[in-house]
Parts: sequence; structure tokens; C-alpha cells
Amino acid sequence: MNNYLSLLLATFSLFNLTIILLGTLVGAVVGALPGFTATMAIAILIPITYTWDASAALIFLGAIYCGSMYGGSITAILINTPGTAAAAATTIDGYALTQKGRSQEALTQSAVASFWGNILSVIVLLFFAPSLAKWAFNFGAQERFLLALFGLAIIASLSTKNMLKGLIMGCLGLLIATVGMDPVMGKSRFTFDTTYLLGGINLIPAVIGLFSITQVFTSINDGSAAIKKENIIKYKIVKNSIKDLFRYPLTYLRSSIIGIIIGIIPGTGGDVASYLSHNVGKMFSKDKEYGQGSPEGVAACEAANNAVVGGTLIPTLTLGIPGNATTAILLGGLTLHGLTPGYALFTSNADTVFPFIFSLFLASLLFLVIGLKGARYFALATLTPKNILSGMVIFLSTVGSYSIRGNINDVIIMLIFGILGYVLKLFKFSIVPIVLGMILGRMAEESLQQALLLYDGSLYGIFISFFTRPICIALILFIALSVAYPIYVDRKKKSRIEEKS
Amino acid sequence: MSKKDFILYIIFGVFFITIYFWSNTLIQSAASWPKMVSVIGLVLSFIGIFRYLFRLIKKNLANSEVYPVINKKIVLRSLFLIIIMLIWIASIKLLGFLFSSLIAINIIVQFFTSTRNFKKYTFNFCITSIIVAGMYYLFILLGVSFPAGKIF
Repeated sequence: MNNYLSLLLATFSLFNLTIILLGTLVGAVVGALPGFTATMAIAILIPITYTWDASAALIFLGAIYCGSMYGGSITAILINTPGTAAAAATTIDGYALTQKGRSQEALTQSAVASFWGNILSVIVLLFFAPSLAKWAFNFGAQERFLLALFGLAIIASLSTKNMLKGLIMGCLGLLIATVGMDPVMGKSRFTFDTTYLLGGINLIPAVIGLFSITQVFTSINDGSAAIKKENIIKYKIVKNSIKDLFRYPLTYLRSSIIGIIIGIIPGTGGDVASYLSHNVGKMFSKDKEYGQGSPEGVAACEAANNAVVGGTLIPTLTLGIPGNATTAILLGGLTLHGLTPGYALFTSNADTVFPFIFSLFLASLLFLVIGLKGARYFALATLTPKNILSGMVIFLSTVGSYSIRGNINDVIIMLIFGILGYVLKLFKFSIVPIVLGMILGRMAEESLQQALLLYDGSLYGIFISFFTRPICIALILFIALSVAYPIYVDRKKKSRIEEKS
Repeated sequence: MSKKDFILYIIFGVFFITIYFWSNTLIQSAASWPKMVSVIGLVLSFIGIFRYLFRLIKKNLANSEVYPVINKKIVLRSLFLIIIMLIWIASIKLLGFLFSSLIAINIIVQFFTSTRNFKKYTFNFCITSIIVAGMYYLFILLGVSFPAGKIF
């Protein structure tokens, strides 16, 4: 106990506090910039930490990671441009709230939920890391395939108005994800013989195009994107209270658990977690506006994608298996400072790892303060004249798409997806299923191919194996529930309307 | 469901058939997943087509969705934006990223302004230039290198 206390006190040195503040701010800015990911920021800033001791280096990089997860939601809520792929789901309710003049409420819930998601995941990291890492080994190809299907089942709840259109868009997204090399033999497909498409269609420019460029087209062609000035001014006088911190306790907890589990499973990430959590949240929410502008929807997404931070660090620190690209770079930073991941990290290198874990609590607290104090001012961004805002969104989207790989073709991809998104929107097709298909397509295909290899190419064999594995059975039940529940609710709603009329 | 939906379902159906036959030219491991997805997509498109035809026979198209009017103005404004963006992308190699961005974003902002007077144009120009240059140097600070042009 005394040891923990001294390690906790070590975290509070002036230097550590300064770098936590700096890292969180850098992370929040980077997260808010479309296309600029935490992975890139950490990769760029690792050289700065070469001369620092291992503990300080990890603290700085960890703070960037935490800050960026929160920062992604700011532009997602205000201008419908997700700063990170993980914040794409936040646009569903976040931007709808902005259009209703309730952006401050959305930003507040985003900060609060991000705080809880991060805090809970770090608690789990602190106390249960080794045992959870062992459990994650139970996730084989079948479980990963069903997890992807569970993610795709969200389409059902997102497209209750026209499920057929939603499912077709999901298929389109899955097919877009197949562009590039196939995961088994590495053969190129649908690349039009260009080297650029060999690596597949980059998700970030596509998502930026689908969300922000589509929004710009909508905005310049009709008044739907205009936000009523009086609504924002009216909301300005609403002050944050302590109640805001505990507005949706069950949502924070449930979404954090989802985020932690998703984070532990390698290959998944904040994007999958936030969509899953939004879907699960819909089943439990009593808010009729859920999915069309509900702070609870924002909370569900943000708690989940921030909880992924602690979740991904569990296999990274205990097994040396990075959960995603960001933790892979963090792992690189860890080894650069002569540290080897594993159980020993928590015993012989406790003086390095525990201050790092404690610093994540401080980073959460910092972005909560930044979010709560800044929400009112961030919200004012929506008062920017529509033409200037459209110009800025186009510029940010272009810079964001270009800066990922320094490739101008990514900007063209962004524009193509922007046009596609706008045309589909005009014909009342939802864009979200395409993004879902693109995110989960690769995971679904890879895991299915792996499972096929295990069962000599027999789909029947895989199907039977689902019912012999407890996690698979649970996932099948969740899939059935998440498809059936929105249909049931929709039917009930329709029959009520019919009865009334 | 409307006639526009019906046409779109046919377009998607043709798209999924094309992908299916394109997949046939690939090796087994690369083809199986896209074939599976395109078959599902094709079935869904057929459901859409048959649903429309069924309703047409029953003359029950009362639940038609209301679409926004796509008029000449919308098409022209969208085309203008696309053309400006394409010229911007093409001119980067000549003018450099910063200079071409300043020109393109200023054109977009001035074109879509609601009030047209000298004061407004000057205000738009100043604000746009400051923000574009500011964001450009922020990204430079973060380590992103932008393409230089032949002139600037």
C-alpha cells in the first residue's frame, strides 16, 4: 500500500504534471483535427521523449492518447466532421443536437462520458489487467466474426425507417472494404491496376468525405445546416452543474464495459466500440430522441471510445500485443526505453508503469475540465457564418485527408465519397451503414477466412462451432436481440399510431 | 416507395451483379467474400424492385417518400464546388499548397456568401486567409509536410 502511495506521489511531480497538461492539450487538438490521428502525433513526438526517463515518456504519450480520444468528438458534434474514426458514431446524436441549438449540452456530455469511460477503463487496467489479458485469448476467429456481425447488426437499429436501404448501404460499405489485397493470399482485387488502391481505400478520407463534404454540399444547397442563433445564445446562460457529471450513470457504466472489452480484443478499436455502444444504448434508453439528437447517445459513444484506451493498454502492457495502431507505437516507445511488456512490468518496473497508469486519471480529469469550461466557447463556433464554416470544413477536410499519408489521391477519395454521400443523402439513403461496413468489413472477412482455414473450408463446420463456444452463443443472442428489438419497437410505435388514428 | 427508389434499386442490382462477375475473375480466396456480399446485396435490391412492382400492381404507393426537389440551382452550385475543388487539387503542384488553398477557399467563401458588398467581401477575405494560414502552419508545426509548387 505504501508502495502504491509513493508511486502515486511520484506522478504529482511538477514536471509530470506539466507534461500531462501539455500531452492532453496536444491530444485534444490533434483529435479535433480531422485526419490527424493520435498514432501520428505519438509517432511524431516520440523523439522528444528520447532523453526523458521511461516513466515521463510514457506519461506524455499516454496523455496524448487520452486527449485525442476526447478531442475527436468536438468537431464531430460541432461541424459533423469526426476528428477521429472513433468519433464517427458521435455525429449521429452530437450533430443533431447542434442543429437543435444544444451543442453545449452535447459537448458537456461528451466530456463527462469521456471522463467516466477513461476513469473506469484505467481502474480495470490497474486492478485486473493480467487476468483480463488471459481471457482475451478466448477470442478466436469465430468470436471475432460474430463480433463484426454484431457491429453490423447496428444497421437494423439505425435504419428502422427503411431497413432495406440501410442493409444495401451496409453491403456497399462491405464491398468498399474489399478493395485492395485479399487477407489470405495478398492478391489484388478491384484496384483497377493502380498501386494506390493496393492498400485499400483509406478509412479516414472516406469518412471525412462522407460526413463533412456531404454536409458542406447539404449546407450550400439548403438551409438545413443553419443553426438558429437564438438557440445557442439562449443555451449560453445554462451553467454546468455537478448533476451533469452523473446524468446517465448506467450509460457511462455500460458503455465503458463495452469499450473495455472491445479494447482488450486486438484488431478492434474505438470506432467499433462507439457504434456497438450506441446500438446497445438504444435498447435501454427511454429517451425518444435517441439517435436523432440525444445527449445520452453522445454519452454512449464517448464513454465507449474512451474506455477503449484502458482496454487496449491491457494486452499491450501484459502480453505485448498492441490492441491498435496507437498502442503499437506506444509499445515501440516502451521498448525504446528498455522495458519489456509482461507481468514483470507490473512488478520489477512498477516505478515506471504505475505512475503512467495514475497519470491517465489526471489526463481524464484535465480533459473533463477543458471540456466543461470550454464547451460554451466551443459551441460558439457554430455561430460562424455558413459560407465561412463551409470553406473551413473543406480546407480542414482536405488538409486532414492529405496529412494521413501525404498523398493527394486521398483528397480525391475524400471528394468522391463526399459526392457519393450527398447523392445518397438526396435519395434518403443513410451514410452510417456504409461507414460501418467499411470499418467491420475487413475484420469480418479476415476472421471468416481464418475460421474457414480451421474447418477445411466448410461453412457448416464453422456454423456448428458457433454453438459449442460460450462467447459465440452470447454474441448470437446479442445479434438476434439487436436486430429484433428495433423492429419490435418500430412495429409497436406504428400500431400505436394506427390505434390513435 | 417511389419511382426514384425503384430506379435506384435497379442501379444497385446492376452494381452487385457487376461485382459478382468481377469477383469470378479472381482467385478463390479473394473472391469468396465479395461474392457472398454481392449476392446478399443483389437479393436485397430484388426485394426492393419486387416490393415496388407489388405495390404498383396493388396501386398502393401512398407511402411514397418525399424527396427534396433537385433543381438546376442545386446541380449548378454542387458542380461549381466540385470544379473548384478539382482545380484546387490540380493547381497544388503549380502554386503550392498554401497559395492554392488560399485562392480556392476564398473563392468558395465569397461565392456562397449571403450578403454581397465590399465590406463583407473584405471581411470574408481577411477571416478566411487568417484561418487557412493559421491551420496550415499548425499542421506544419505538427510535422506534416505539404507539397511545394513550381511557383511558390
